[in-house]
Order: sequence, then structure tokens, then C-alpha cells
Amino acid sequence: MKQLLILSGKGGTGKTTIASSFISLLKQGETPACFADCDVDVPNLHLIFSDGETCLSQSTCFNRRAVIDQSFCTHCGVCEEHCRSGAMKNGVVNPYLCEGCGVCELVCPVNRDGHKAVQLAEINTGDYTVSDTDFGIFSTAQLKSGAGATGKTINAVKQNLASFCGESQVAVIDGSPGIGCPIISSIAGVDLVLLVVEPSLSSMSDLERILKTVRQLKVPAVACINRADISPELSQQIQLYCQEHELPILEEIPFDPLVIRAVNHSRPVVDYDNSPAAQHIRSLFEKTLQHLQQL
Amino acid sequence: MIIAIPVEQKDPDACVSSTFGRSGYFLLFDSQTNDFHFLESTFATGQSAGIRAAQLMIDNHVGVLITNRCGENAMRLLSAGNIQVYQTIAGSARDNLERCLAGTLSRL
Amino acid sequence: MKIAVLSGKGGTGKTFVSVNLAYIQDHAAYVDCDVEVPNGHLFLPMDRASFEPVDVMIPSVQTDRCNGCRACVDFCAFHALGYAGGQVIVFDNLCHNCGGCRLLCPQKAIIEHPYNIGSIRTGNFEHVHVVSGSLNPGQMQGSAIIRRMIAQTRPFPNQILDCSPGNSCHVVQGILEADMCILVTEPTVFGANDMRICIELLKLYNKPFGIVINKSLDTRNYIKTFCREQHIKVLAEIPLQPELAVLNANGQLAAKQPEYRRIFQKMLKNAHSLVAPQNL
Repeated sequence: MKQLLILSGKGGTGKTTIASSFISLLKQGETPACFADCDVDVPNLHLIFSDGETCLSQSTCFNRRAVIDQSFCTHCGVCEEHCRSGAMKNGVVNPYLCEGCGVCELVCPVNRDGHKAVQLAEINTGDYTVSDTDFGIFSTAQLKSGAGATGKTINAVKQNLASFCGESQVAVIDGSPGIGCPIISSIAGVDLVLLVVEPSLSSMSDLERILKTVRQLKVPAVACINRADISPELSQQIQLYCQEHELPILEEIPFDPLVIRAVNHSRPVVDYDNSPAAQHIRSLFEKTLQHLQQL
Repeated sequence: MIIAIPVEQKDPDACVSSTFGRSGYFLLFDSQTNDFHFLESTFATGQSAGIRAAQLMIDNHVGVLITNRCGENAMRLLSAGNIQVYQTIAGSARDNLERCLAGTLSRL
Repeated sequence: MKIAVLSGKGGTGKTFVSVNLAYIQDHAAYVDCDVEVPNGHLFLPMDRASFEPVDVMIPSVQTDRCNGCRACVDFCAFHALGYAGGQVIVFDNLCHNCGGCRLLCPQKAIIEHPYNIGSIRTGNFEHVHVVSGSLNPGQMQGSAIIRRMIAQTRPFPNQILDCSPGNSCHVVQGILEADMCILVTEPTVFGANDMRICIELLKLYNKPFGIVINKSLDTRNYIKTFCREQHIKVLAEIPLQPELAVLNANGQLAAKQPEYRRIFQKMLKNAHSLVAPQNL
């Protein structure tokens, strides 16, 4: 099975829009496929692919957080002194800043029957599901707000995909914005990254950073420019940049109001035959698949 | 010498795993005794699975690892532990073991 | 007043709102907490920016003192330590710099050294004090950079904290520091869905917040209906206009034009009214 991951650096460039169209086109082409949503903070793919039989649905406990037993805490402050994430203040743990490192438990001088006054306890970090949809196996998750387990949840989403994907030949993975831990977790084990860029200074600045990240992890990448006609000058600059950096731009997709309509009807854009964007997305799909199959 | 291969099932004729760290099991083959057994992963879905898998290899005195792919961090730990890493060929764990013993696998 | 600008979904216009809100004030600080992909500096280019590397402390093991007990390897919650070839191996970019291994080592064999994860650039753009954090590509997380920026700008009474999208620990730091939060959304199914998730996070912190609807196509949309039902204040609605889109794409400040400046002034006034003490 070949894995395609769709990233951008900057948010809102059209990753989910393109991912959903690819998933639809794979079905149209009768290629056995599966897909995953690695934007576990705010997943959106399930809004388009909502039907399907649930194969797996489970709560996750991917993190531990410090918990203080106030009944025997002496408020000595040693934990606060050693906590580097700023999570300990005046004998109270901020669970959203605590990283679960265990230093507080280590240094706590108060011990009652083998239990320290501050200890790490598992917390619920959200849930993940796998469903069998008409378009293939779909793996997704919803991270609980502030749970701080994005990377681990993404690992689980991909692991679930691998466990349930069966005879799939292609996996489409919708990524999240950024370049940090969630992206690094998403990239692991992927065969090809498709970078979705838009013609804006912000997107170009972020392209440079995401490309560096992808290249550090030694995964091949290709790109496309979405809403390219909004600024032909900036699109041209992107073309030049990508040429200099040996990043093939497979397609330029025009701005198309039908895309917003498709999103608001929770349908892939390629369902709309008369959409100019859909035509270009089809072309992008063919070229991306070709790249993927050659790897 | 102990040769390790990541697999998804506890069966030497099963296909080798496409990953290293995220594998469910590791087949360990002792070339001196011709015995093999399986190690079960406790961390396949967790963080830093590659590093933990590499540590597991080191702690079980593995000399050769045959794998399809391997992350940079895991490779660094494996090298520090003097474990040689070879590229799998398509097929079962048994096929890969035979090729390895025949010296026809290439380094990863 | 310190305002954190958030969104659930990426690309709704956090930076667009943030840089313009900072610009219309007499002397505010704009703090770019989206350290993975910072963009504010493109709209507010600093003259004579000062550059400060941000380092975190990473362990290294003195091999002459290490006896191979592996207590550090077993302790590390992030699996940033391994043991091979008779020595401890440190995985720098996985380390969360908690200092636990150094505290734990019975042989006192672990010392710490600085490890660069990113940088902060500080300067001024006209009357705006700009602080821009940047995480080095390849690094896992930039909480330490955000913490430092927030600590450095704490004395500024008026701040705009431009946060990253989503609801990660990076976003939480901005929320904690703020007096109120602005949640920027767009009137699409994705925007509405992600806004609801972000609202859950804001309610956890009990911070006053209001919504800005960006790229609005018409006056009736389900976001406004939702806000009305939930008694959430809509601070402003910014229309989807090609002119605005082009200005933004080219890194131009919309608030330099009077008709857009008015939108941000009203937004700020509405934001203030959420935290202003009510006279009985």
C-alpha cells in the first residue's frame, strides 16, 4: 500500500478539499483505497464521509498528568521549583500545561504508604474510530481539547489504518497545518507528500518551512497551487521558488466559488462536473497517482 | 548470532511488516541453534516506537535486523548497538531469513 | 487589554485580524505565537529587529561517571534516551527538557547543555511593538519559545497574541495569558465545526470570548444563528471581498484604509465591552 500525505504549512489552503476529491476519484477508478484524517485537533474529513459501519471506536489515554493529593500535600513547593513547563503554581496543577514528565513525582519529599503527594495519573485524551465507508476504510480521531496528545493520537490513527486497510493499494492521509510534532508524526512511514500552496506571502513563507521539514525526513514531495489565479504574480514566484528547490508543481487550480458550495454540502468538489476547480483537481489526481505508483 | 525481523503475526511464513517500530511482533532467529521465538511489542501505537523497538533489539542481543524501513533515530540507536541492518525483500520472514543466511540481502 | 486570537480551523484569518487589531491601537504589542509557521512579520516588517536564539537545556552523560544502571532511560517519559554500546544515547529533538534524568542519576553523571530550538525577533513596525517567534524546522514543539515571548512582553498592557490554529498546548499558552479571546471563523461547514471545538477549549478556561466571522458571504449564516442561540457575541463580520483577499495575499495591512480601519475599531470596542466592568 502506498501512502500519500497532504500537507501545506499554512492552514486553509485546501488540503481537505483536495483529499476528499482524491478519495472520491480513487473510488471512481475502482482502486482499492483507504483514508485517514490526521488533523486530530479539528478533524473535518468525517463531515464529508459520514456514512459507514464502525469497525473500531475507542477512548484514548495517551497522556499522564500530575495530580496532587491535597489531603497530605504539605505545600513545600519543591515540585513548583523543579517544574519547567510552568504547570505548577501555588500547589495547583494546570493540567493543560503539564507535560507528564514525572519530575514533580520524582522530587516530592512527601511519601505516604508508597504514594507521593503528587503523582502522575492517566487522562482521557479523546477517542479514535475506524469505519468501513463506501469509499474504503476511514481512520480518524478527535483529540480532547487541551489534552496535549496530538502526536500520539496521530500515531494511533495511522496504526489503525494499517491494521484495517486490508487489500488497499493507496492510502490518502489528510494532514494538519504547521511543521512541528503533529506533522513529524504524520510524515513517518509515508511514501509521498503533496504540498498544497496558495498564492500569498504567508503561504510562501510557510512552504519554505514545511519543505525543509519534509526534506529532513527524506520523504519525496510534489506540490500544487490552489486558487492560483487570485494572484498570477505570486503564483509565478511560487513556480520559480519550486523550480529552484526541485519541487515539482503538478497543477495550478483556479479559484472557484463552487468549491465553497461543495464544502457546505459536505461533498467532494469532483462531484460537480462543471466546476473548473474539479477539472484541475482530476488532473492533479492523475499526476499524483502516477508519481505515487512510481515510488 | 541473532537475526530479527519485524512481522505482523506470530508466524514465520507471514509477510514481513512494512514498518519497524510499529510492528506488532519481532521474530528472533538464533543461527547457532536454529531456534526462533517471537517478541510482542508493547509500544506499537505509542510515541517513539522506533527508538523503543531499537532498544528492544539491543536488549535482546540482536546482531542483524532485516527491515523494510527504519527511522533516523532508531537507526542511530541500532548503529550504536552495532546491529547491522538489511533491507527486506518481498515475501515471508522465512524467505528473508534464508536470503540473509545466504548473504544475498543488501544493507539498508 | 491582552487579546488572544484563535481559530479552530486554519486559514480563517487569525493573522489578518491580529495584525490589523494591533495596528489600529496607539501602542500595542503584536506577539506571534504561531511559532511553527509565523506570518505576522510579513505584515509588520520590523526595522532593526533584534535576534535572540532560544535554547533549551538538554542532557549529556559523562561516560566516566555512568555505570550503565539505565535509571534515566527507564524514567524518561518521552523515550528520548536509549542505551547501546555501553553508553546512554540522547535524542535531542525528542527531549522535553524536564531535567528529570539529571535529578535522578545516582552517579550524578548527567549534565545539561543548551540546545537551540528556535529564535525570537523583536522590533517595531511604525507604532507597533512586534515579537515574532520561530521554531526551527525539524523540532517537535515550541512551548519554550512561546513562554519566553509571553514573559518578555508581559509589561505591555495592550497585546494581541496571534495563536496557532487548533487546540494544542501552544494555543493554551496564549489563552492563559489573555484577558479575553477572539475566535476567528469562516461561515463554512468546516469553519462552524472547528469553531465549536475551539469554544469547548475556551469554556474550560472560563475566559471571555467573542467571535469574528471572516469571509462572510451573506448576512444570514448558521454561525450567527448558533451564536445567537448560545448567547455568544459576534464582535465583527468581515465580508468576503476580492480586494481584501488580494491585500492580505500581498502582506498589506487592510487597516491602512479608512473603510477597513472602521471594522477593526468596532471589533476592538466590542471586545473591550466583553471585559469592561458593568455599572450597576
